[in-house]
Amino acid sequence: MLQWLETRTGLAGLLRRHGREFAVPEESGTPVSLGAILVFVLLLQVATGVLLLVHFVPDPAAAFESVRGLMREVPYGWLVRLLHAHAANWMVAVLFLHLFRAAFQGAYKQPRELVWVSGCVLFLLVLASALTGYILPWSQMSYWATTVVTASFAYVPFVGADLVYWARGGEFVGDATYRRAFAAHVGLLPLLLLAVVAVHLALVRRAGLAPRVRRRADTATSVRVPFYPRIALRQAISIVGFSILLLVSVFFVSDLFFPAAHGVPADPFETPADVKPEWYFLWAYQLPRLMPEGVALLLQGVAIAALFALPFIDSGPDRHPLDRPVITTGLVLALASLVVLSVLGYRA
Amino acid sequence: MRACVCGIALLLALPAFAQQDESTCVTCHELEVDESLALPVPEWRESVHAEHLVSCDACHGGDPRLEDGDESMSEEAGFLDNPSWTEMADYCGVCHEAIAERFTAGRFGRSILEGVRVATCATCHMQDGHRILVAAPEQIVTSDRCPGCPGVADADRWIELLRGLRASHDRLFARIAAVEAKGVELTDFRRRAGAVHETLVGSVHEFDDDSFDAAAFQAAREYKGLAERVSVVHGEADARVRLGVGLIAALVLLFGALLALLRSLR
Repeated sequence: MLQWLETRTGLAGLLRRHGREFAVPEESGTPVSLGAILVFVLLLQVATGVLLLVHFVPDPAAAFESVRGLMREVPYGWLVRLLHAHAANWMVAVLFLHLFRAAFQGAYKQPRELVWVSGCVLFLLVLASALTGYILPWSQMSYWATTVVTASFAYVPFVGADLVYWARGGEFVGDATYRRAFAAHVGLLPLLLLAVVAVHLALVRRAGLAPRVRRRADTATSVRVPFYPRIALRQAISIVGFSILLLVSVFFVSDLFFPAAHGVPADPFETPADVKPEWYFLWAYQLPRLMPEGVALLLQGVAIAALFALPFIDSGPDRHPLDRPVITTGLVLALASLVVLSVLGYRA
Repeated sequence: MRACVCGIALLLALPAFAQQDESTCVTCHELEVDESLALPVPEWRESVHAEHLVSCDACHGGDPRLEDGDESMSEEAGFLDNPSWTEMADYCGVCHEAIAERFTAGRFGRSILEGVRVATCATCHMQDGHRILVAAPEQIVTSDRCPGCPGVADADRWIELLRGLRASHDRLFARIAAVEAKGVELTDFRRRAGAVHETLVGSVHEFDDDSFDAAAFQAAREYKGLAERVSVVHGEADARVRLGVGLIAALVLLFGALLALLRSLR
């Protein structure tokens, strides 16, 4: 039977090529395989998203009640919905960690420049998925946070007002905004995400996993081992560890990512007392409050451009943070700014 | 007339939200020798109105931004003195719209329209002068005061019913809080229970035995129905916790087993 399958699919050969014959540096995947966790969360999001679609009614007039029905009446609907919502937040958090770890370790250096660039594209796609998913329950917080986020598009020079109108599908957040968000969240963005993840993994496979970071003077070479079983096992341990964290948040801190206005249906005529975007957009929400809007927008644009261009700006051979102090200082400042702006945005 | 008074009062109330206790009213009246003119200030400071930044001019008119006392209490500044008993519900109704509507539509409101002097908002809610606090109806309806009111034949029966409903209300909210502590969001139950309470409070302001009895019966039924539904959700919340503990324990075991396997490979 297996031979029959092998003759027709070549599956065993495929597993061998990407498992036992795929040599990776021994230190790869330690201490936590953030990339493996992200692939797992993406698949979890697809699976839970499809299950949610079975009962969710994507219409502003019925969405809130259908989510309530999922939480109260559909067997284990609450679990599927909470897994989807919590995993989305954890995915963004892990993505931030993955990005900064790769940056600090210089994992974008030759020949992994395109791995980095495709990772940055994934970062933006995940944020877009989170934003479009946030609006779908059509709660007060969905409605008003979307209003705040889309209003910030107005800061873009020359085309700002048009951009707001285009994103909302009208003057205000409403049915048209909802339909756009739904189409993007369940159609366009998952397709793009899966496609770019495939490209990202193919590039990782081609360039190989980045070896451990060493000081310039350290000439030791990394020992290479087959990906299977040790590295694969380490990644599995990371995924199980992450799953424990995810389940703890789902079962015991289930309101961790839900402000009070999540439990109230959207009402365009009643602004909740404390309207803020999700925690991962707080830095962008706070920046225009500290400086002229144009300057804030320019800074955000420069930051994103610098993120993409990092492998081409820092193209030297050194990877250890102490051997490239300018870049390391820039990264520390960027990280500190993100944290400080987010805290200020949260407390604003 | 009513719309006109409401409009004027609303316009007068607006500055009150911006100008608070640094207003001319407060600074002058605080220093008054005549106690009847000075006492409202400390009383107001302890009131729910001060807490919600509703200042003197919201009810008495005038312009608290003008530094000169006479000017701020002049006709030009819109000073109204004390609202008359015939217009009081309209003044209070600028903020307490739903209650004022029930009052006006009720027995007392109809009496006022006929020119018969009866109790108005201040009669019950200003028993401590300007120290107006949030109070439950059963704290305001008293057996020594209310029997004189037309429509309330037996104040003790009202108090008993209100206390019973208050206990049901408090028990329901305690159950909701217990379920929410287990991570199940019940905002809609809270809102529904709040709406039941508001409807009951509204019916009290109609001062009519029949209307109150019907509202009390309805409230009791709704509290009971909500409590039963919350109990069901409570049971489900406990089951969730057990499921969570089981799943997490299984994953912790798997984590340990995989770690052991990794060590054995070295």
